[in-house]
Amino acid sequence: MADDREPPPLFDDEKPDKKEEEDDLFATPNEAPKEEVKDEPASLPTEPVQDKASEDLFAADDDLFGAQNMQEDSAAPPQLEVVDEPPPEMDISGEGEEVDLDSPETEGPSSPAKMEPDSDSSPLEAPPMAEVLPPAKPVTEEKPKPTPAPRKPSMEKSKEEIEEEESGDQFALDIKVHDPGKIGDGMGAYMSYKVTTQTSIPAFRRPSMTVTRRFSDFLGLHEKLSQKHVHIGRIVPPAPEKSVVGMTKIKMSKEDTSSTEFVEKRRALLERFLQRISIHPVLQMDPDFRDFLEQDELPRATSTSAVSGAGVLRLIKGVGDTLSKVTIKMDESDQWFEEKQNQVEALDQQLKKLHASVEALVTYRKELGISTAAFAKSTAMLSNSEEHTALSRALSQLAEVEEKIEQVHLEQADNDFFLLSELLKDYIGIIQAIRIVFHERVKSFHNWQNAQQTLAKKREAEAKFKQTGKTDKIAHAQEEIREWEGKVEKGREDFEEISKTIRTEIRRFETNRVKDFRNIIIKYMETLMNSQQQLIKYWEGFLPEAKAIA
Amino acid sequence: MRSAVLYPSVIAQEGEDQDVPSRLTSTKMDNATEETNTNGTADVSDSPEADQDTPESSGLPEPTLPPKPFEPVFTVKVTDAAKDGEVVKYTLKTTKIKSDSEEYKVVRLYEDFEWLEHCLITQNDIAGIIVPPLPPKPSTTAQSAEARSKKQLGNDIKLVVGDEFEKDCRSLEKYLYLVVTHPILGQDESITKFLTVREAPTRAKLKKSIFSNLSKAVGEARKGGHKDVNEFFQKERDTVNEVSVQMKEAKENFMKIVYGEQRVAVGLSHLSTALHLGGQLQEGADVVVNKLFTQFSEGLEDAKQGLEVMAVNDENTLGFSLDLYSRYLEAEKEMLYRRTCKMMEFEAASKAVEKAKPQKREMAVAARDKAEKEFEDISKAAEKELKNFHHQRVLTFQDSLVRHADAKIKAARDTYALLTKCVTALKTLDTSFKPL
Repeated sequence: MADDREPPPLFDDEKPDKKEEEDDLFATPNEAPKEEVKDEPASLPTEPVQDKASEDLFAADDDLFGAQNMQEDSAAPPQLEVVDEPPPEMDISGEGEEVDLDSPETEGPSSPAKMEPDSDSSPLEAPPMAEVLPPAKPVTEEKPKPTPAPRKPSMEKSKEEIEEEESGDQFALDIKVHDPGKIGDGMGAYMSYKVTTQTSIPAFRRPSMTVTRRFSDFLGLHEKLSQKHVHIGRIVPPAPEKSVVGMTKIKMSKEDTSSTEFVEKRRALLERFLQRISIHPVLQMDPDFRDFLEQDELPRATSTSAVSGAGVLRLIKGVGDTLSKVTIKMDESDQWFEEKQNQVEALDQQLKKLHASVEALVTYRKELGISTAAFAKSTAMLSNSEEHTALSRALSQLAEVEEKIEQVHLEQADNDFFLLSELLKDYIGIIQAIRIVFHERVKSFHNWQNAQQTLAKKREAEAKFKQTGKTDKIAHAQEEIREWEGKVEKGREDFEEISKTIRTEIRRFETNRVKDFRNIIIKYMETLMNSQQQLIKYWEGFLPEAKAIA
Repeated sequence: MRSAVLYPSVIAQEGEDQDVPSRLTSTKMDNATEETNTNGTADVSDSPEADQDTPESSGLPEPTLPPKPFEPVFTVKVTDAAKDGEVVKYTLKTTKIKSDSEEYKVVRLYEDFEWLEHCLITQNDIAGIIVPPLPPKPSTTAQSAEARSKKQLGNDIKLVVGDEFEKDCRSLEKYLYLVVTHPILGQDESITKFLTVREAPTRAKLKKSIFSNLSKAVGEARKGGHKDVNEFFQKERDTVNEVSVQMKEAKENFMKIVYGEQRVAVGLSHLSTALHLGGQLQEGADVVVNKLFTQFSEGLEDAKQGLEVMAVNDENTLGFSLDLYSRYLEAEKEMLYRRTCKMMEFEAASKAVEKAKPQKREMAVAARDKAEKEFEDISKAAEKELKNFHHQRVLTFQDSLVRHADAKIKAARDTYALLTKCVTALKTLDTSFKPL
C-alpha cells in the first residue's frame, strides 16, 4: 500500500519553474492576447500543437485569400440579386474572413517544446493526432494544474492530493505505439507493436527506450494493474477490446496487413491506453507498468486468454461480481457518491447516443466519397467523347478535381472516426471502469458491515458466557472480540480510504474529461476547417480552366 | 453569442442566361449566313442576338438583302409556383425585349406547357429542329414526396424532402427561354399566345399512348444503325449515341453527390442535436463540458449549413445543365433520327426509280426528286441547328462550370469563416470549474 503513495515532492521551487516554462513555450509576443486566458488548463499547450499542425494551412491561406478575397466579394453582389436566401452580411463576411483568418495566424510558430519532434504536421492523420494529444496532457498537467488549485482557495486539499498533483506535474512520460508487424502465419500468427518511451522520470533505467509487445502483453498489463489498484478505488484505464473477427482476418490473410484500418484502429487504441496510464500519477509509477515499458522480454501473459485457467476464474469472479452488484445494497450516507453515480450514468447515456450519431456521420461521409469518385469517372468519360477541345480539357480537369475531393471526404470521415468516435468509445469504457470502482467501494462497505456484525455476535457470545459462568470460554471470546474489533477498525479505515481515493480519482477524471473533450473538439473543428480549405484550393485551381473554355 | 451570422449564399442557376445569345454571334455565324443567302429561306438566320443588324454582319456587297436575323421577342421569368390542392400554378412574367413597358403576367399549369409543346411540334416543320425538351412533370403527391425522400436520403433518415418548386420554376423558365430564342419556334403564334394571353389556351386532351413510344423506340433501333451518306452526320450520330448515355450517367452520379451532401448534412444535424441532450447535468465539470458541447454543436450547424448550401448550388449550376442536356441530347437524337428516316426514304425512292417500269418511271423520278429535296432541306436545317446546338451547349457548360466552381469556393470560404469563429470561441471558452 505504501508503494502506492506518491513520493514526496523533490522540488521545492517548482512553482517559479513552471512560470518560466510557460514563458519559454510562448516566447512570441503575439501570443499575449491569448495568454491572458491562462485560466483554462488546456489552452496554452494545445495551441502550439494546433498551430504547428495548422501552420502549414495558414501559410497557404495567404495565397488563397490574398487578393482574391475582395475580388470574389465584389463579384458576389451581382449574383446576389437572384439569390434565394439573401444574406445581407455577405460583404461583412469578406472582412470577417480576413479578420478571422488573420487572428489564428498571429499565434505564430510557437515552439513545440516537449511535443514529439516527429509528430506529423498534418492534423488530418489520426495517428499523429493521437500522439499529439496525450503528451499535451502531461504538459498541461504541469502548468495549469496548480492554477485552478491555488485560485480556488475554498477547495481543501490534503497533503496527499498536493503531492499527487505535483509529482504528476513533474514527470513527463511520452509514449508511442508504432510499427505494427505481423509475426508468423495462420492461426498462430499475431501482430507485434513497437512501444517507444521517452521520459524524465528517474525511476526508469534510461530516458528513452523501445520494446516490442504483442496484444496479450497489453492485456496482461491491464490485468496486473487492475489486481493491484481497482480494489482500492483507482480507475484503471479499460483494457483494449479483443476482436476475434478482426484478428482472424489478419491471421488468415497472406499479404502485408500492417496498414489496414483494423490494425490502425488497434494501434491507436493501444497507444491511448498506455498514455492514459502514464498520466495517472499513481499508475505511472507502478513497477509493472515500468517493466512493460522497459523490459526487453516479458513473461507471456497466458492468463489473458479467455480459455485459460485464469480466464475461467475471471469469468467466475465476473459472475460473482454481477450477482453481488444486484444483491448488495448500500445505505448511502454520503450524498456525494449517490449524485456522482447518477451523474456517471447520465453521462454514459449521452455518450452512447453521441457515439451512434458519429458512426452514422462517418458512414454518410464515406458514401459521399464513393459518389464523388463515381462522378469523377463519368466526367472523365464525357471528356473523352467531347469534341470541343477546351471543354474536353475542362471536363478532364473536373474529373481530377472530383477525385481529389473524394480524398478530402474520405480523410474527413477518418477524422470523424478517429477523433470523435474513438474518443467517445474510450470514455464509455472509462465509465465502465468507474462503475467497477464504485462497486469495489460497496464491497468494502459490505466487508466492514460484516465485520461489525460478527463483532456484535462475538460480544453477545462473551456476554452470554459471563452470564452462564463459562469462564473458560471467556478468555477466548475476549480474544476473538479484540481480533474482530481490529477487523472492524480496518474495515472502516479501508472504506474511508477507498472513498477518499475515489473522490480524488473522480476529480481527476472530470479534469481530464474537460481537457480531452476540449482538445478533441477543437482538433476536430480544425479538420473541418482544413477540409474547407482544401475544397477552396481545388476549386480555385479549376476555375481558370473553366473560364478558358470559350 | 454570435454577432454577424454569415450564411453561405445560394447561387441561383441559369435562369439568367440572357447573356448566352450575345456569345452566339461569334464567327461561326458567318458560314451559316452564307448558306442562308443561297437558300433564300426567309427569316431563318442564326443570330438570335437582338442588337446585331444584318448589314454590319455580312459586310459583303450582296445584291439580295440578307434575311433579317431572328430576334427573340420576349423575356420570360417564371416567378412563382403555388400549390392549389394537388395542382401547381406557375406565374409567368413576360416582357417584350423591344419595349420594356409591355409586361404580361399569366398563370399556367403544367398541362398548359404540355399543350404548348404539342402545338409547337404539330404546327411547325420540326424535321430538322432539335426541339427543346419540356421538363418532366413535377410530382406533387405525398407518396411521391416520400419516395423522393427515400431515394435521396436513404431509408435510415426519416425526413421528407420538400417540394422543389424553385427547381421546377427554373426548369420551366429555361424551357421557355429555349423556345423563345429559337429562330423558328420563337416565331410561332402558340408561344406568343402562351405568354401574353391571360386565359390559358384551350387544350384538347393529349393522348399519350404507350404504343407510339414503343413503336418509335423499335423504329429507332432498326433504322438508327443505318449507315449515313454524309461523314459529318455519321460522326454526329455516333457521338450523340455515346454522349447521351454518358451524360445521363454523369447526371445520375452528380445527383448522388448532391444527395450524399444532404445526407452528411443531416448526419451533422443529428450529432449537433445529440450534443444538446446533456441539458440536465448541471454540476461541476458538466457545466463546462456542456458549454463546450453547445459551442461544438453550433460549429456543426455551420458545417451542416455549408453543405446544404453546396448541395443546392450544385443542383442549380452543374446539376441543372447535366439534367437539361441529358434530355436535350435525346432531342438531338430524335432530330437525327428523323433525318435518317428521310435519308432512307430518299434511298428507297432512288432504288425505286432504277426498278421502275417505263410508264411508272416519271412518277418514280418525281417521288425521288421530292424525297431528295426533303432530305437536302432537312440536312441543311439540321446542320445549322447542330452548329447552334453545340455552340450553345459548350457555352452553357462553361457557364455552369464557372458558376459551379464559384459557388463551391464561396460556400467553402463562408463555411471556413464560420468555423474559424467557432474554433476561436472554443479556444477562449473558460474551462475552469470547481470540482465537487
